[in-house]
Amino acid sequence: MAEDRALLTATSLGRRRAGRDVVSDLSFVVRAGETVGLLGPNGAGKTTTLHLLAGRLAPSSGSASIAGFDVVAAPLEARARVGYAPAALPRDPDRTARELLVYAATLRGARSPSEAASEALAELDLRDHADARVDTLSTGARRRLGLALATIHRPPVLLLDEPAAGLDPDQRTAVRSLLRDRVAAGAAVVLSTHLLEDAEALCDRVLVLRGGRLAVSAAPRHALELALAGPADVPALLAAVEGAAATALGGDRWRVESPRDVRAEVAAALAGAGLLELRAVGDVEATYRGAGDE
Amino acid sequence: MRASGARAAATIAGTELTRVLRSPAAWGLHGAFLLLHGGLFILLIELHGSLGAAAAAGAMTEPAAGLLAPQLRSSGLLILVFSALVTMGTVAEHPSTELHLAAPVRPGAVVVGLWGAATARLLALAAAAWLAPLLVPVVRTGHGPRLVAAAAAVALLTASGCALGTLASALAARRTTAVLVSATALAALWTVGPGDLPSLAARWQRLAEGLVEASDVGFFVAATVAALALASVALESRRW
Repeated sequence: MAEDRALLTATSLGRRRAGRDVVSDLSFVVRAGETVGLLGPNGAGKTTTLHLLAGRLAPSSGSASIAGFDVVAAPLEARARVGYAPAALPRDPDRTARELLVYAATLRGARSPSEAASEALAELDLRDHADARVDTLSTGARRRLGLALATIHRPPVLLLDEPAAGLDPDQRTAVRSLLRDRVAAGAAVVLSTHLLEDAEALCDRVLVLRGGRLAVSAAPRHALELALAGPADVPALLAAVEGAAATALGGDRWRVESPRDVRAEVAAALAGAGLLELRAVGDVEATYRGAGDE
Repeated sequence: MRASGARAAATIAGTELTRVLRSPAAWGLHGAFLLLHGGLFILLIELHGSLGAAAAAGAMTEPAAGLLAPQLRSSGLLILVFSALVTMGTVAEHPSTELHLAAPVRPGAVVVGLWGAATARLLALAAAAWLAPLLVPVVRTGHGPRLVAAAAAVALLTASGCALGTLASALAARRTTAVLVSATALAALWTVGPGDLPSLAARWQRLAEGLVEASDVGFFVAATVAALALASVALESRRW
């Protein structure tokens, strides 16, 4: 649940390159305990936005701050409070995963870099790869190593560029779980993704970028469609499921919308009502497609 | 949470040395440096024999001094060439450049750390290659102070050569570009001094032969500091 404390603020953020606005007039706030998804087609400005927020690129206009520190005026303070996992996988032909993590933790002033590295390896299920050289790791392991490098100092703000790319379903579940834990602990997360199901599963809000501009800012509603064996008072049965709103679709089919993932709760609530089918439908996808019409 | 500048620079230097010493390519480079100096040393021995004979015949009063000059001149040039080679990947195509840019560390600390590792590596090679072989004839003939001056000269030349190489690496996107730029610049400075100033070779030769002049020491120190400052700006400019 998002708190009132703003951890990341972008104000009229812009970046010009080669005479073209790559990102233009982008303003938004991300609060503690909130996960925001950056969506948009290739070239929409998602990675540039993350670079601007991480201090990896300087803005041409506007400003951004991390936990109250301007990324240009107070870059070291801002960078100390942000973890950035770029889309590019980490590479190093000469160092092991553990050595790279220890190095990152040392650069960030960790009291016990070895301990921090061990924790990060355990969290991202990388213990079996700890002593393998980075360049020999699989794509999935390197992706998780990138996330470990971004999260090793437990920053209040996480910026993740395609965090689930190249991960298998189990690894994606583990990464989602890690991110949920960090958000529950009060972190603010901004992630860019082409995987709309990740946005559905993780994000409290999505920002859809088109041509470097913010086209839509919307809170995705998790939408379910279900079929029952016979008539039932679904709204009454779902009264205990917080935030769930049921709409009849005709026959014994219903649509349930909620600001969070309530699949398990809905299944439990309707188990005695002859639930035949329950499936998630892509509401974020509708938001994403709709942004293209604006 | 962030590391202090000095601690970050020390961490970067130590990690970089450890990383580089695992690379087969680095050992190949070290081998080439030692091989070339070995060749020079063999020439020195042969020259020593002929100079010794000349001294014995009364034709030469200071064989060790006669040995030092050609050896040091060649050695200085090799140090500069290898400065360009050991520093070409300090920033350009370095696997940790993204990590360095994301970390809460000043660019100056990153540059000093990477330069420090390259300088330490080349100094260790230079010491292994020719200080020890030269020690015997110089000490035997009572030229200890010259040896100290020569060692200081090696340190100054290595530091400034590596600083210029680090600057080229910070400016270039590719290692090959960096090594070409720095090798060309160092070779030019070795041959011709900037403006009316003496060339690197002339300054190096004076220092290495024990003629310590403040202007020469100042030149090497100023060149090192200026190159490192510019490399820090070049690294930071990767954000812009």
